[in-house]
Amino acid sequence: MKVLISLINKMSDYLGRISAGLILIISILLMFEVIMRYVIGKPLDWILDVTLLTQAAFAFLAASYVHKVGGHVSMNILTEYVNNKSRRWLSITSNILTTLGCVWMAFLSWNLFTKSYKIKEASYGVDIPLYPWKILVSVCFVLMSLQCLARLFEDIKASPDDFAEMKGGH
Amino acid sequence: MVAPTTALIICLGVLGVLLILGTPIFMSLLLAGLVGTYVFEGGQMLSNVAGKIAFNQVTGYSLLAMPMFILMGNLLMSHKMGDDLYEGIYKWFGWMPGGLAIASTVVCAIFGFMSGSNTAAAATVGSVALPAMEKMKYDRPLALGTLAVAGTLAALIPPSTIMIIYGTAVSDVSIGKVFIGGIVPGLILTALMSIYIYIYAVIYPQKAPRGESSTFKEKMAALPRLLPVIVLFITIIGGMYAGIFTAIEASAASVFVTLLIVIVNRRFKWTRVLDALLRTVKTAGMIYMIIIGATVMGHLFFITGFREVVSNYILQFNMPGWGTMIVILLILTIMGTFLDVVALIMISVPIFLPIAVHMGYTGVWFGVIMTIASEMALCTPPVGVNLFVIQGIAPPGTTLLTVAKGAFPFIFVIWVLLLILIFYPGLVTWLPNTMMG
Repeated sequence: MKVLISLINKMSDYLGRISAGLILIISILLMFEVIMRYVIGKPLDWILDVTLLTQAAFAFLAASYVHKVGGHVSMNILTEYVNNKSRRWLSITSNILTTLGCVWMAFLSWNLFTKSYKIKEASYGVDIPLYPWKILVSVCFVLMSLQCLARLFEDIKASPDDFAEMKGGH
Repeated sequence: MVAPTTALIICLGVLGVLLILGTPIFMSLLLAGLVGTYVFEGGQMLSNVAGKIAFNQVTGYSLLAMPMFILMGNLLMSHKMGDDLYEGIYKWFGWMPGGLAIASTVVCAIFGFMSGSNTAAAATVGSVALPAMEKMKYDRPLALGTLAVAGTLAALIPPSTIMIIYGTAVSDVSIGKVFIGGIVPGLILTALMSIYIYIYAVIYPQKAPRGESSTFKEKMAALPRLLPVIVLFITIIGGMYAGIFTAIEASAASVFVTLLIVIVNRRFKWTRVLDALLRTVKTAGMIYMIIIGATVMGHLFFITGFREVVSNYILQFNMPGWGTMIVILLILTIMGTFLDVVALIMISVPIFLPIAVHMGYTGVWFGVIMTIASEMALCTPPVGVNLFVIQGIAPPGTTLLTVAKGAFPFIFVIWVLLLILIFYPGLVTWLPNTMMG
């Protein structure tokens, strides 16, 4: 189990770094569009499509990393007032609910991909196939549920004292 | 299939339980929206819209600027560019009663011109100003509260991540105009906060003592430290105003100009760039997911006709425009205490913007008002992100309550600004109309 948790954590870290690279790619693409507009006098058709799809990839791939580093904001009212043991149970409950929500969303979004694949859907501008990008919605929530499970097992194995610092909104 | 009211009650019930249990806000909104839509429209309809909403939201053009402006702030923060700025401004304001707190407020406002991130502004200025205020034996709640609220000035002064999110929630409002519309209110709020601190320091001099005074020569020598701000302001606002690029393209340009500034100042380090990028992934990734969750819930509000119900309910009282806006802002203040700003904007804008427009206010004006309401949400527990940022850099043992206690009086200061803008909407709309037509 320890190896599996470590693998999931490493994967999320890796995805975080890929997402960081995607931000740079988006900024380069946007600047390239401005430069080309002034150099050749008209915008390049493909840049907008590629930039928007890169943004989608960034948003969906970053989610599990954000969860791993505790970036998803929450309203921890109860944790301020309960003991460490109860905090541990709150964290476990929250992780179970988040896992279930992610699994449900992954199933629901699969429809988006299959519909797009059937009609070989492409972007408006330059015919970039959209289904490889649309599958990212399901992939995102599968990755998120894996990261939630990793956190869940970590919480189950942890002692209540490890939750002493678990206060506030992150 | 159930009645709209039942679906809404189930949705809000699920949301309340999940939020109280500490489930991430994005998942609370998402699950509440999914459950509500499932009981109202059934599983087939849900599978048609859930993925579509998620995909469409993250391929929105206006959102592209959000990670860029956050990255700009994080790059400045990780390369410690705020330190120089703070020292420069301190020379001008440090001698006044409450001088350190006033200087912090002014620096946050100036940092706002260089960053779209309120957390980056609070963390950057706070990490320099807080040790200085501790050394001068400043009242801790005052010091922490000032920094938490002053950090939100970056949300009002362009470029602003929150205004970009507002642009995602509405379709026919120019982000560039909302950006420009935030300048005058941002400067007024800076002045109001400084006046409050000054009065407080005069009444309680031991809680906010004066700093060292500087000679005129020292003050003038500090001015070049403002050069990065001027360069970034010209790049972003000047570039947009001159029609060289759009607000979204300006965000990308600002990243490159920021890197250039850092290199020229000989502070560039790859490790710092990576740190800034990963911080950006953390913040922007969180925002994208909340937008998805809030839009799924907003979809339920749309199909059940909830928006119209709220709108008709508020309008039936036939209050004047200013009265209606005060009611809306009171609702937003309450909502802001338990909702994250992104969720607050995504959920409330489609409900309240039509009412504001009906009352004769413009989308640009409401965007600025919404941003100011978000500033309050950033500083009110239990979800006020800026409170956590400041708690994170405060001396060990500082509770969230101490920071919230310090921020509380500034909520009234923000309300003064809101009232001014309700009665004088021209303060928001004049500059964008003059500059951009």
